[in-house]
Amino acid sequence: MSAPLFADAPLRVSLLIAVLLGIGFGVALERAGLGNARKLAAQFYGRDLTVLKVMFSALLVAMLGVFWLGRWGLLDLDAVYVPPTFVLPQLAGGLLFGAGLIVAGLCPGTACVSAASGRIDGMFVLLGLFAGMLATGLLLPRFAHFYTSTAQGAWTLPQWLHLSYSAVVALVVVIALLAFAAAEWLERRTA
Amino acid sequence: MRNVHRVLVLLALAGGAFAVVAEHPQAPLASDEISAPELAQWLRERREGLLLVDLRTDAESADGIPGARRAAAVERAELAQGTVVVYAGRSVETAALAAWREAEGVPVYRRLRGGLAAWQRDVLYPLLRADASPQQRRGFSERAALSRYFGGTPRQLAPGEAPPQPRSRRGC
Repeated sequence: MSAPLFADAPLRVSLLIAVLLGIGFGVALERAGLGNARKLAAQFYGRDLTVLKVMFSALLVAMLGVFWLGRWGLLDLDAVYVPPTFVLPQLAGGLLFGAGLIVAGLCPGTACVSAASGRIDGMFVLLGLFAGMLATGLLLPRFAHFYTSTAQGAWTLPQWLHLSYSAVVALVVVIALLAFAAAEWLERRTA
Repeated sequence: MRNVHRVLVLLALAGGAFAVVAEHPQAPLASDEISAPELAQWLRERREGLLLVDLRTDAESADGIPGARRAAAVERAELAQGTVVVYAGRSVETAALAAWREAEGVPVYRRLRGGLAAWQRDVLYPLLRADASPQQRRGFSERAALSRYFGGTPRQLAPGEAPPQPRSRRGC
């Protein structure tokens, strides 16, 4: 999901803000150690679950931020874009993405961070990423039918679960905290 | 570090628990605001003394709400009676509204929350997903009737039918 920070700002201002936010995001990833492929790969062996904790932290901050900023009238929720869901293509894409993450040890964001900090594996992952994007762009017309199948539109958890928005917020908080506790336990066990 | 973790956990729990108490992720309507469905009811009932004012510029003001008058075409004497409801494309800027109220001497007014975008989404083109809950289905028939009254097109999606999506992200 995304929303304009300043709905009426000119495009160049929005782009400048995007660049500054991107740099901040990259610095945060590097400081969390996620520019290191070994650290990301350790996630899949249960030795270091930093990625899971960072992702759930980001998810909680964003979810609670959106809820409360909307509640306090500081964020126009109608201006928040929810990307459409395509169940089967996104499941297939998720599996492919996960396989690539295990093989490369980096995802697109962390590959940029890794390359920017001078790691050669990060640069090669970026090269692979651009090659993949080019190949996908060229082959997409052949897969257009699959690519647009099982469309659900902007589909959210409250709609899927038939629960209120606030109940889903509370549920995700509990799941995230349980996941943190489980991650810490697993890390202690495998240390 | 352990204390920081505890504080963060407590903050997350408080954020989640109070969300359940708050119920809705949108702020309640302010005393000077009106929702699009409520305005539609007012218009349908031909509420006495209601004056609907479109604050958009001439270039923007195609496809306005039925019965709305351009701000420039409203006589000052008309503003002294009844209730004035103002709207713009999305939301009425407080500063612009304050300037307009001051210049025109508007006594009682309401702002349409979400502007014309909310009118189109909530009144003219309401959408019911195929996986909607029974509660959503019950409320939809009333919304559909209101939509048809104003010449809109309510849509009830068939299973597997995707709702329409905006072609591009707003703001990009």
